[in-house]
Amino acid sequence: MSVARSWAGLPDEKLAELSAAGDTDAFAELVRRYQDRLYGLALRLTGDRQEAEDVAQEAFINIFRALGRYRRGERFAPWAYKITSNLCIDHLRRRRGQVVSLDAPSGADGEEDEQRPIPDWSSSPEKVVLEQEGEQQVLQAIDELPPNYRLVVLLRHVDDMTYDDIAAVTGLPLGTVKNRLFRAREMLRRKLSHLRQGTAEARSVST
Amino acid sequence: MSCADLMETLQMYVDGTTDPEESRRAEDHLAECEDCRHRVEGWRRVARVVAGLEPVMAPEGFADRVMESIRREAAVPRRVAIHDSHESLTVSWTWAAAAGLMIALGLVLWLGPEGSAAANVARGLLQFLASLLGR
Ligand SMILES: [Zn+2]
Repeated sequence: MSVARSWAGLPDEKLAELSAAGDTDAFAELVRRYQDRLYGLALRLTGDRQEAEDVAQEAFINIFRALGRYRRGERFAPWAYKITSNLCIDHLRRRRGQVVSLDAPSGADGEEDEQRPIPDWSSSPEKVVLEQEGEQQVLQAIDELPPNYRLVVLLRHVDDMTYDDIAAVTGLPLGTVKNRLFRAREMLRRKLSHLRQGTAEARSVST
Repeated sequence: MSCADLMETLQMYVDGTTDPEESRRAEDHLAECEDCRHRVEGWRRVARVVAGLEPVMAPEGFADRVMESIRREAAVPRRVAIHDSHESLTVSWTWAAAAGLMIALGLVLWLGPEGSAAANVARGLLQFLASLLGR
């Protein structure tokens, strides 16, 4: 594929402005820059590869359509994440029906949910075999968090966002963001306390 | 200061967003409180473990599929599409009205008495409309 223009030096915000003016090549560059992050968020929120792909694709289309409302100078990343996470939460709400609260823990601590499907986190099938057991347990623990808590933990630690950015993505006041993060960390800390050291941790320490 | 009062500061300390004064307060408390040391170590572990998850990559061809639908959508500028359909709607209404009028006039001619004033007017109008539509 021949690259007619080089986007390397351009910030996301400039690309968003060009896209809003109808430059689909500029938008293609935004898709390239954000596809892994937004698909990753969708995968970790939905736990299903096919659903994550559908949601992420829909998210990019919604982002493109919403560009008319994108304010010049507004930071692109939180704006794009907001559209994507809203869509994921909508999907979860629809999928799980009205019974399960997005804020309440999905099962009593230490108990197994009766019919909880095994989340499919892997990005490629062959990796399942190579997966270290620690990683699966961490993912399981994250999956057991209520979606709204899962979201703040992922934004903080996977996407390395500040409290302010998380507030912008979720539309929550700063105090609520800190409180959710605190409660999510406490839930995870307890769930992971019996997981032996090493495994998933080893990689992050060594890199 | 109680542990509960320091929770927010300790969390910000873990996230590296405390100012020097807050950091000092957090460190002073951690030096003397084992519960909070344990808690803070747990949070750091959560951070390492979550940040250390296998990075996720979008599936093969994902960006191309996205751009295919975007380009398809962008190729049909919405305003023009609405304008077109509106115009063709207007045209078809004109045709429907003309056709309706012709049928009505035809009925007048067919049912009305031969040579009456109404029939003559109707015949004239009909010829006019037919010339319009036949253009
Ligand atoms: Zn304490």
